[in-house]
Amino acid sequence: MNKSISKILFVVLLFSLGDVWAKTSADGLVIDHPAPNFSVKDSNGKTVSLKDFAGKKVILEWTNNECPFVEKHYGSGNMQGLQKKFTDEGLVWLSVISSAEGKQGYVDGAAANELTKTRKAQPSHVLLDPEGKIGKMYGAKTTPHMYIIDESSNLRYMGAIDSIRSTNQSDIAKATNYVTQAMSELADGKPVSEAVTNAYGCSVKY
Amino acid sequence: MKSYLAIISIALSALCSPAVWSASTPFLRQEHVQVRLISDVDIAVAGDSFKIGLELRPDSEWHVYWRNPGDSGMPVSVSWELPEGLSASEIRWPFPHKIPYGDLINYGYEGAVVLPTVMSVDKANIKETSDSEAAGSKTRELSIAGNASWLVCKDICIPGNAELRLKIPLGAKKTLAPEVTRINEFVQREALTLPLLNGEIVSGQDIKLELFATKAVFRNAKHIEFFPINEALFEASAKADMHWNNNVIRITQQKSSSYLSMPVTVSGVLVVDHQQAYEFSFDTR
Repeated sequence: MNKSISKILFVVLLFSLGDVWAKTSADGLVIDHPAPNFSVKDSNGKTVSLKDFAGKKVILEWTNNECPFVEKHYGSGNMQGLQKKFTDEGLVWLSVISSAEGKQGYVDGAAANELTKTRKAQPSHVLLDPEGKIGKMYGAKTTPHMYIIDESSNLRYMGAIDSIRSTNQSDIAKATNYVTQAMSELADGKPVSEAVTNAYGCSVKY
Repeated sequence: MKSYLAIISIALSALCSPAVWSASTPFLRQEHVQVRLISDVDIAVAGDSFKIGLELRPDSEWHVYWRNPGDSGMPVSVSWELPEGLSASEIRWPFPHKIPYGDLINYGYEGAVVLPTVMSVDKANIKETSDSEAAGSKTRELSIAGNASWLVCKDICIPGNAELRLKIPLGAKKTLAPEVTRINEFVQREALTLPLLNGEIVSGQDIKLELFATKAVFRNAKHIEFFPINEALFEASAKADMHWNNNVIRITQQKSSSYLSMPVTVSGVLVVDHQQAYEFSFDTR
């Protein structure tokens, strides 16, 4: 008797857990819950912490300049366009490079700044994470991999940049951009309709 | 004058179609991979079907991807340009293997792979393309163009694409090509449909999947490997805990970090003892 009650309880628990965990990442990141803080050097040697930006929305972009999926979004000007649009609106855009030294996409501060200049990129900071600390903290798998954090430091979006997995620039116009979609829903005070998507791209070169 | 023109057109057709009678294109060398199209018939018949295989041969240690690429990557794709009356199936995916990279797991193919597609020739509507008519011959041909694209990876990835063209003659009697053996090697790795009595899936911190097949396909299985077809459902890099007996299999695997909600249809491939694959699919609502 006891056994069957506990079995029923277990099943009930299983189903309710299903709800609670519905938007949880395996890495412990939960949509609408606080995003983990980090402190890291940017490409100019300045220490940058997530909590410095409390009160502002923050967009994290994992990047690797040699990855063909990243080249799709920079070669077309799509990524720079998003950076300009959102930093002009007063948001903070952090490009994160988690490639380990010796791996594809690894750059030092000077090379990162040179890339920003030649690509006419407009991030607020380029964060250098060669040990992969922030990358692993956020469970970043691919480049690009995008995250949106709101004014209260809650995670509101994580996943792909858009809906078409390809390296063709011509697909950008046909795709739904998940970052702009989430940002406009947030601006309208609506819940983010697609708060977690399957990021596509090159694996992060930890 | 007439014979003069005929000579020109013979010369032209010889120039334009050097591989008219071959059931395969030569390998095309692209960055870190060679690709070609092969056909399992030398002569196709109206009202029947035949197979075309896209063969990819990545360089040693490089790989290409299955329909669900796993943690990163991109599936191989082909878009066909076909004459009226000829229609192509989806790719009949051979089962993949797991390819680790750092903490990630991808699903794909290291070494050569042939991705078969079934071509059906509609008897009533087939409109063969024949460029040999001018030469006075009665050859009827099907012109097949496949635009293939892929991502080939080792520690880095390189996207590639190629347009491959084949011409298959139409005749009264189907004639198999030597490449039929090569294509069939991979047709055998296509999953059989696994009819289910029931399928259950529960999402908690892990995903628990339970399948009840109509037959005891797992009875003597020593090893089973699971490849989800849905993306963003199971964490590819997490180990699956599997128990099976006769017609039942239970799989527990960590939920994907990209999981948002339970898909309407859950499907996957189970590979028994590295040789026989079964594909299941069921609705969750």
